Amino acid sequence: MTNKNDFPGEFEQMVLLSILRLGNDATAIKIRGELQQTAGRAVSRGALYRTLDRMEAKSFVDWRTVEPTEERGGHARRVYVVEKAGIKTLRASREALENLWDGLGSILETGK
Amino acid sequence: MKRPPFLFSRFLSWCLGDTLQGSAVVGDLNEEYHELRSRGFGTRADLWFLWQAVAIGLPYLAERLIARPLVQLRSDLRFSMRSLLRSPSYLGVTAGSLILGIGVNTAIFSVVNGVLIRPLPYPDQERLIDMGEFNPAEVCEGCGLSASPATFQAWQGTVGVFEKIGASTDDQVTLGEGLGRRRVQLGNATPALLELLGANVNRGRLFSDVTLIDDIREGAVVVSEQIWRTIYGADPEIVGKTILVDSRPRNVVGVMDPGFRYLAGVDIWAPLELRDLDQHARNLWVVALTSHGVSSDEVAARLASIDESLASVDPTNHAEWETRTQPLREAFLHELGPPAAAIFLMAVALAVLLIACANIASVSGARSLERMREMSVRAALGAGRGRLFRETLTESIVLASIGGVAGIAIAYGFSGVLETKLGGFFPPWLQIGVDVRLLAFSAFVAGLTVLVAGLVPALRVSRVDVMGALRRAGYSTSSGARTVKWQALLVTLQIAMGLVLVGAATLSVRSYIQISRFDDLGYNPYGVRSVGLSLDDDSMGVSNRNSVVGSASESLEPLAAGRQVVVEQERFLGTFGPFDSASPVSVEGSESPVSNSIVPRHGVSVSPGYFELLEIPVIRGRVFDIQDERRGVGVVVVNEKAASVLWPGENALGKTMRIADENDAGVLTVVGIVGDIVVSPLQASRSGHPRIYTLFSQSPGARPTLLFRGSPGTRTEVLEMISSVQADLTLLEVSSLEEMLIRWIKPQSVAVRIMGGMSVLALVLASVGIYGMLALAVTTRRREIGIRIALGSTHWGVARLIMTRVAFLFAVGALLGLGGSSLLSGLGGAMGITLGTNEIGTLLNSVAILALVCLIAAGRPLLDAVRTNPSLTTRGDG
Repeated sequence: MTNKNDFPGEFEQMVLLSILRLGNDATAIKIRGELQQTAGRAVSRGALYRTLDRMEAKSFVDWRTVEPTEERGGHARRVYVVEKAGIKTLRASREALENLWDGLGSILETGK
Repeated sequence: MKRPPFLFSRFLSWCLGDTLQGSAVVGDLNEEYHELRSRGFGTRADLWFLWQAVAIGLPYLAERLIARPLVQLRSDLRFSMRSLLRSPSYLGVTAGSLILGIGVNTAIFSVVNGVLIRPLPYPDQERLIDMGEFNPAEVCEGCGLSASPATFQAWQGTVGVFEKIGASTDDQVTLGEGLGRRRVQLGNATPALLELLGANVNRGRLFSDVTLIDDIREGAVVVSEQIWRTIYGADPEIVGKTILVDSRPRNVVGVMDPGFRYLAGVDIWAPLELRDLDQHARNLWVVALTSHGVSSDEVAARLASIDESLASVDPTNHAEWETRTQPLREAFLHELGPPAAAIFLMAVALAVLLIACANIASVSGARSLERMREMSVRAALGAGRGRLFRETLTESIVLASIGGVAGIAIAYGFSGVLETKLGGFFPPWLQIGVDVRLLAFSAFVAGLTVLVAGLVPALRVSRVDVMGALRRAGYSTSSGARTVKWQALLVTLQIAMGLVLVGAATLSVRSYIQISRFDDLGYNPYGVRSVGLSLDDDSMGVSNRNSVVGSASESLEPLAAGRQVVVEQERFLGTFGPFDSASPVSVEGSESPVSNSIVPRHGVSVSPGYFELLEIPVIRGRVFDIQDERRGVGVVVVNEKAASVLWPGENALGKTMRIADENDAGVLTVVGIVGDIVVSPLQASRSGHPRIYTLFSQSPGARPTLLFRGSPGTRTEVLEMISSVQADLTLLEVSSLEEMLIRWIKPQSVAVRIMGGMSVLALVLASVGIYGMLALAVTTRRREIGIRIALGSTHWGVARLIMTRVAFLFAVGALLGLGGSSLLSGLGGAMGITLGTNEIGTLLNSVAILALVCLIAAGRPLLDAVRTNPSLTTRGDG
């Protein structure tokens, strides 16, 4: 039996996938852009930052800093990476969903 | 490059906290802000930044200020609870000390507060005065002030001095009829008295001056809430109904509010009709409300002029009497007796609180030193000093809360027990109950002790030199000379206070033993049964009454196993229902200066056999016999005191006298002189009062008590036995003289138990505190002991060094304690209480117990230290 905390929430999954998609350039601004462009999901900055903090506490993500620029007012930029635990939880979540979807294809197609 | 609005940028940084993470968020916003500006948004970019700063910052701020501290608090609380539960003895001693300190103190203080501090439950109580007439020739110990109707009416006519003046009396009456009838207490009061005491009714109305004439004519009464509920089943239609009082129909006009407290146990209130009373019998209790701005001197001057005019008009009844006044509160306190007992109890409660606080301080101190190493390890492992400080403080707060809440519960419980046990013995005006201010004070003192006791180690922990403490831990955790001095002071204080309390307890036990010994009262109360009766018809003639009482006496003979059943008027040697103390006694045939003077009459009418039954010795002459009853010649027996007062230096035998209110008796001849008796074991003076004994068969009165020695007999048995005469009388009480005496001293007995309990408690608390503190003091010297032994000291030499110090502390504490106890016993001696061998033995035993505690407390760690290899103790592993 898998613990419910082992699975990320829907938004967390989206954020993790966005980070993976962005590769070495996953800053908060870019993650937000990716979510909007690819998933069509507009998110507030506050919600995104808090989600990133939460996933950091769960060891799903980590970050490194990049040298500050003038336009950032001397503040460093954080670039996020998905940790092993994050990959593991994404995998578990995907497997669970695939298991649930298994055999339900016809219903999805015909709507019956 | 244009910077984003500075204020909001700072606000966001502040909300996010001064972290790298926060800085990155601000940086992201800055970056987006500049992008917006580069796209041509000017003010809109500023507004956007403002909005984002608030939207992102506020949730972070809320988390930082509210959510995170709450989580921290929860974690600290959990940690404190775990830490406390790991040391159950510490938790038990500290919380126990707190609970007892707060609980016992508040309960005792609440009673004392009720007696000494709390105002009377009457409006304008500071202007209420108790008034009465005083005759220097009659000093009646424990008697309150009373006045005659004639004098009261003269006072009523005073204009300007009194705003209101009222009077009352009380009496026993029979309520109802047939088998359902019962004796109840009747309070007669003038409307003004009820008004000035703020009396109120639940339903109906009170008497007023306007309705007084009609009320008296129609026999209006106000019933107490208690009998309205118990007898009339809280009948909502009671007002207007008629009830039978002494076989007379009376009209209920109201139900008294239960909050009105004046005369004890009054069931029915009726308007006082002064015209029905003997105008010169001083039976009225008078209370007046002085006018605003009138001084006590003005009141005294006006009353003195009334005294003068009364004496000039009627010298026989007023010449030797003068008016006395006192604040009503003082009169009530006088009724309670000296406040010394209350103050004594208060001092003891305070001492228990002091010991409890010393205990908490010493045990907390010991624990903090014990935990120093644990704290140092945690600090070395990265626990912040703030966190350690917070945890230590939280532990104290948890402890203070547990102790405080339980202490408050104990205070309420204990004061409830006191009220239940003693409520009936307190006057009605006295309100016992937990005083919230006192509760807050006790909780504050005890809580503060816990907090200070916790705060000091917390501060110490937060400033701990980690490496130094780790190196030292195990050798010595001593914090220097100041700590040692504190330890010494606490140990000395606890020994001294413990002994003083034991001294106080032994003194109170001794005083109780003195009053509970009934063998020097001048009569023998042991084994005397008493059956109190009341004739339902007060106006029954003496001969009819004698025949009813005679039948009742004969009926009870089986219980007396063939021995005589004797009769006395009123209950318990005439105490509960004394004759009019001011009834004039005229002495005839005496040439002494006291001849024909008016002397107090502490009298009781008795049947033949009374003196033999109570074993009251006959000094001269004889006591009553059957022949006296048959002959019908007026005879009287006096006690030695009465003989010496009435006929000083003369032989009282054969002298004659008259008692003003006993018209039937005519001239009475003294046939015997008997020994003095002390009715109450609480009577401060054991010399006794002048007493005059008349023959029951020759005296009027409707409340006989049958006395006999024999089997107790239950109330039902007695009721069955007297069933033949049950139509004429009501059984009041089946008891024994001994039971009555014990009931009399019950408040003292409860007080002694409280004292005893508190002294045992104090001794246990002090022992625990002393043990903890001394054991710690010796343990902290382990390294020093190791070094001394390593340098060549003998075990005996080291032991002597340590034990001399302990013995010194003990000696100082014991001397202070014994000094305090002897001071107390000096006070006790002044009150007539002398300590016997047993009490001194108890005190010495307590000294021995505390000495043993000190010996074990210091000896155990000392033995441990000297037995351990010095190389271990000096290294810190031992």
